[in-house]
Amino acid sequence: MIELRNVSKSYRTLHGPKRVFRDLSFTIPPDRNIALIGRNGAGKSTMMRMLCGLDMPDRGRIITDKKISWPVGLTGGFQGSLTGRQNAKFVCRVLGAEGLAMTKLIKYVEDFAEIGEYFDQPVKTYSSGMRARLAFGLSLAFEFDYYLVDEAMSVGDAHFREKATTEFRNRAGKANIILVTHGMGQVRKLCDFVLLLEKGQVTPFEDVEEGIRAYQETA
Amino acid sequence: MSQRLYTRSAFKITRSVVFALVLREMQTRLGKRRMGAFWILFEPIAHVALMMFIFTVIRSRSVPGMEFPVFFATGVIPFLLMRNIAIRLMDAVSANQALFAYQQIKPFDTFIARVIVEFSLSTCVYILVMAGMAIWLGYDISMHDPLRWFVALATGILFSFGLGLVLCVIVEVLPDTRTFIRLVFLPVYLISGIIFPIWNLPREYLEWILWNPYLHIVSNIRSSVFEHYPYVYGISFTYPMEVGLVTLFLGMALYRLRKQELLAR
Repeated sequence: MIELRNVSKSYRTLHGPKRVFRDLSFTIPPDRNIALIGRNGAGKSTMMRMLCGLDMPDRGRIITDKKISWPVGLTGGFQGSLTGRQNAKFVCRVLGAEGLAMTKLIKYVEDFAEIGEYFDQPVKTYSSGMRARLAFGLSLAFEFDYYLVDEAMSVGDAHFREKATTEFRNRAGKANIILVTHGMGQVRKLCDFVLLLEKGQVTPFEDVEEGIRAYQETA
Repeated sequence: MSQRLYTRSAFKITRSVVFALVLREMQTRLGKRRMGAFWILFEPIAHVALMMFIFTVIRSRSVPGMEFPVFFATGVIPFLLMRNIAIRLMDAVSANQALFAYQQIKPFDTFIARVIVEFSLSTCVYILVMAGMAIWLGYDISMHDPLRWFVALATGILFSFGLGLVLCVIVEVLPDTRTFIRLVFLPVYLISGIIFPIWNLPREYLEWILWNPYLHIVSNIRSSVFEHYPYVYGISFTYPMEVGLVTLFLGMALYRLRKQELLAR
């Protein structure tokens, strides 16, 4: 369970502070695959950053006993001049996987990414799809309770998207996803709970179709 | 298959994160160019060698009782280390911003990792330059008081670490100062007595530059190497320690205050 209690968050901008959330409280129910949808600027990214611990609320708390991943498909953390393997090893070391555990993880990432010999080439030579594959494999290599997926599913070809979807389906019961997206097809395919962000407020929808309808009305 | 996440103590996390960062930093620097390992060491060695050539052969400077190249190298290599620590700490957060998405990595880890990298490289450079001078040029490179030398250098590293922390917070608040701060280190190079012996300076000028802790540190490092290093008016062993501790405290306090802003820009 993830609970947000009286969360307020604002950002400094050129035109003074911009309030994104004020006294927001809600609970994300356990064992559901959540879709976080809303128009551009509704606060999806801010919410996601707070959920994965990249940013803190100004006031209020986010309470959870779950392990939440970094944004799946995060490619910004890659060092361009290092190879895919070196970058993957770096993440393994940071997370404390050494020796045999690391060997296994690297094998998994290599198999999942399916980028062949590029795995031993510098990441700066990768296409954006290849980067996404590598990043995706790296996130899935570790067991989180929640995987935060931010538009990452939209990169890559159909085969890769199919593979990622299957991978998440296989983990049903063990792990859930929080999907931040504009693609309603993905929401229908992967999620069973919708959180609609609008003007700093969150509306939960038990029924996915109902949530999608509400979202389309706001747009 | 996928790996369970480990529950580890805070110390263990920091240790593995710092280790990972050090390796990554080294790999990045080595992999940037062909023969990266060669360039990494050749660049600072060439800098030192060129300066030594200019001042010994062309300007024929000499320092009584000491070989000038040894005099120069014992000052400039530690100084470059201290300067690099301060400047690389200043840039540590902006250079590693994307990594803070991994919750285990904190800005402080990047500071520690960069100090380790700079220190290791500088140690290699020092050993190679000194060995080169001893073997090919026949200079006496022995150290008069190694323990005192180490304490003097450690004081310098401590001060530079604190300074780097302060600078890091300053550039986070005012990003435009970055270039200016880099420029300031050029005159600091000159007023730290790297290229000239400070005991020749008239006292009225010396008094002005005695506030500079690097002047004390460099002088203390050299007086630990040379047995017949003259007494210099105003140079103190404890002054840089005091300044270092105050700077370190200030840096830590600022870091503590601005930690969140450093993490998420």
